[in-house]
Amino acid sequence: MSALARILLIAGVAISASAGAQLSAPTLEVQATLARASLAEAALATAAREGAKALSTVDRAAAEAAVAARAVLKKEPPLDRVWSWGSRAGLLFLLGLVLLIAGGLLARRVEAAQLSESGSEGDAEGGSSLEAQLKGISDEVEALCATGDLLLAEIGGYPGPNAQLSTLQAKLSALSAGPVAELGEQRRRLQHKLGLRAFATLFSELSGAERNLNRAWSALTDGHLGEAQASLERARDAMRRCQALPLG
Amino acid sequence: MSAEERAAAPPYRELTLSAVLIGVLIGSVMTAAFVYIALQLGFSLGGSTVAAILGFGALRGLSKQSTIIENNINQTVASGVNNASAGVTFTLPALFLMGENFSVWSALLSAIAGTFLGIVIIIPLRKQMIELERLRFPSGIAVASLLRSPGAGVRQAKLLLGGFAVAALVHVCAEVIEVSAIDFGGMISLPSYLPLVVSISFASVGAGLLAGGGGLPFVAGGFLAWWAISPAATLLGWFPEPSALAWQPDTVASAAEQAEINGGLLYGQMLRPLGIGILIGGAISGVIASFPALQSALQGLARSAKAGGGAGGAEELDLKTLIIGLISAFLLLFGAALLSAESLSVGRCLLIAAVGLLWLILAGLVVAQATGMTDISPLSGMSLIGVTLMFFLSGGDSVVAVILGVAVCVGIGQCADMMSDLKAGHLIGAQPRRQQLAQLAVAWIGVPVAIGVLYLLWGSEGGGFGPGAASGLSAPQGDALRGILDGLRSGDAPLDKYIAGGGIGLALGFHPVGGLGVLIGLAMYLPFEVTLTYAIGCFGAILLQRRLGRQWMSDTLVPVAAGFIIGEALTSIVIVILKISLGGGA
Repeated sequence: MSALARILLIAGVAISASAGAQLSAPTLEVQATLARASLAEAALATAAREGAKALSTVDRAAAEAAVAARAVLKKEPPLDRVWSWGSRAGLLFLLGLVLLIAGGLLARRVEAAQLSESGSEGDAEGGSSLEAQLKGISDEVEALCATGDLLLAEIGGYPGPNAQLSTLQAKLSALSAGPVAELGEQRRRLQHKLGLRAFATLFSELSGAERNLNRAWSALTDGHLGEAQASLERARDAMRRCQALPLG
Repeated sequence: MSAEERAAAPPYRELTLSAVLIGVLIGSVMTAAFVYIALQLGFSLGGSTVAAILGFGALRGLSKQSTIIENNINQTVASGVNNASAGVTFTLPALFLMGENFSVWSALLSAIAGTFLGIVIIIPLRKQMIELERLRFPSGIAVASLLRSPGAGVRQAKLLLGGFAVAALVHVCAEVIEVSAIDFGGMISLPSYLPLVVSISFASVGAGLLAGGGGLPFVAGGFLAWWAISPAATLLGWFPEPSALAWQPDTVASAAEQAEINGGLLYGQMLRPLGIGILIGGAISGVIASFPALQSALQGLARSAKAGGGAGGAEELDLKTLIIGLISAFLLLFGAALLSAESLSVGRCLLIAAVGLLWLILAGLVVAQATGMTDISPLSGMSLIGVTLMFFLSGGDSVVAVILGVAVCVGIGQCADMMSDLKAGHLIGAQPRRQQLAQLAVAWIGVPVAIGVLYLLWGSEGGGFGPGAASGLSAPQGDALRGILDGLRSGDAPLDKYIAGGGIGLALGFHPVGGLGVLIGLAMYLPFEVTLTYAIGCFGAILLQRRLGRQWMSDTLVPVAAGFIIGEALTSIVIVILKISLGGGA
């Protein structure tokens, strides 16, 4: 099924795009006139460079006529172009579109079946379910908040760039590049599982948490532990809101 | 943590006056310089990395307490101000070159409207693209890596510098030997309709490395365009016959001439307009598919407005700002339309302002999505459609088309830039609200700077730029737009391709992979060498992740790839400035 969807998609795009690219007969004639004019212009330029011998009188007259034809050229009006193109390639184009749409619909069905399968497998394993992933991230953010509080009591809100902050920073980097990014990559599966609205609510909160983790990282680089801690707390609150969402 | 302990610490510096002022200063200088560069070369340069590096030094010089996030505000402001340089220089010179009389106020109003619109329409899209779709925005990641470098440790700093050095060295070598791409197809005698050319760009490789498997549909789109449609068009005879190209009787065009003409036709008349159509259709289908999420984002903004910022609400600009911004931008566009053509009725000006606003929103969405997925922005294609729309709505008035086109070009550039800065901000923990407020407050300053420099360079007697100008400023983009307007006057608009592409883009929306239409459309819109170079990065990232794991990717590959992007961007700027200051042009 998946291969058939792919074949239909490729064939549909190839046929419709090839038919769509074709020029109507009047436009082709216009383009030929323009091309003749530019070739003649080039010949006249060469003649001017190399002296009068490069073109005979007859040829010069023909070249000048070809160039002059460009000035009086009547181009096909836009709507006429649509009709003449349609009569030349319209049927083939429509065939391509039908294949393309059929391929798309089939691919949707295949993907839906695959996502349902992978979703139920994930849930059955327990460890990689959405709830477990959210809890894992949330626990790590809570732990980072606790570490931040301890550090704050020890070295104050604005210690400046400080080696003690680097451990916290390394943990933040690992959390962002690891579990948070991993959850972000499951976007399509979650969208299918939760529906677009619930997915949008969840990912808005998750992205808010991610941005605040990034902000905490930046603040630690700047030696501003107070702001880092405030950002971690905002990330923690966002993760708590994520966990509280009815994710069915 | 106790309140006293927190009170003992000085406030964490973020949206400070010094960050904004330094950002405005750096942004204004970059705007002036980049207007000049764009008039000479036909392309402008992104300023985020330059601003981040200069801002770091300047802010540290002013205060030892300056922070990573404060520098992010500086960099956001500077690149926002500088955004006007590309938007203005790609459009407005066309009116100078056509000898049209136009009100400078209409141009100012239009560009300022574009600036505001580009910022406010990002408000609901930020949540959708950065938080829910988690788009990559490779340049945003690169800038974040740069901003984080003081705390990222010696190893990551070395990797960033290593990537920087490799990209800079390769770029300098390519400039010296004047080779921008390698034609592998030519080496193995592939026919010209089966191109296999790789551009020498580590920035593209870096963007592909950061996009990884997500960039594969883009690569597939490139192969579809150049390895399926191109041979089909050649072998099935979709081009003019050789005899039809002969300008003198009893002759035919040579094989080389024909290959060149066919290549131009394939890209300019077939693939590029079809790609633009697919991009638009893909963006519309994306809006339809993500409508519930967008609705939820808007409801969230509305809730935060009612609650006066609640949990997390204060970190985001509210719905009221979005609505006020949209209404203000509409009024500015209306004013610009009224001022640019006295003969137009009020009703038509209202229609032009409304369509301009809607187009800017859609095009902004396309550009932001494309930048998020690939780091490549189809800015010129979207602006071109904007100018075409305005041309037809105004009954063929070039002045109205270009003046409103300025708003579109500035606005969609602002969308891509703002979104990339917000991604960088997300990665270092900045508050989006503060980035957006800073940008709203001062990004418009780039508009008078860019337009002022343009007038200055045009000179009191005129003719300061344009093809053959003594200054060497040929204004290629403005001249190209003049050519397009000439074409539009004679009825030349590939509507069939836009409609066909739009249909394909919409149909691709049925596929479960999001953004497929935008990726395939973008690949058709671009030359193949860009796509192939990007593909090297994508496949490299997939292989490396399989062999070395995700942790290695974030610890090692991200700083190296960010170094590639920053290295090439900065080296390009230095080379261009050197060339211009040595009088060698580019």
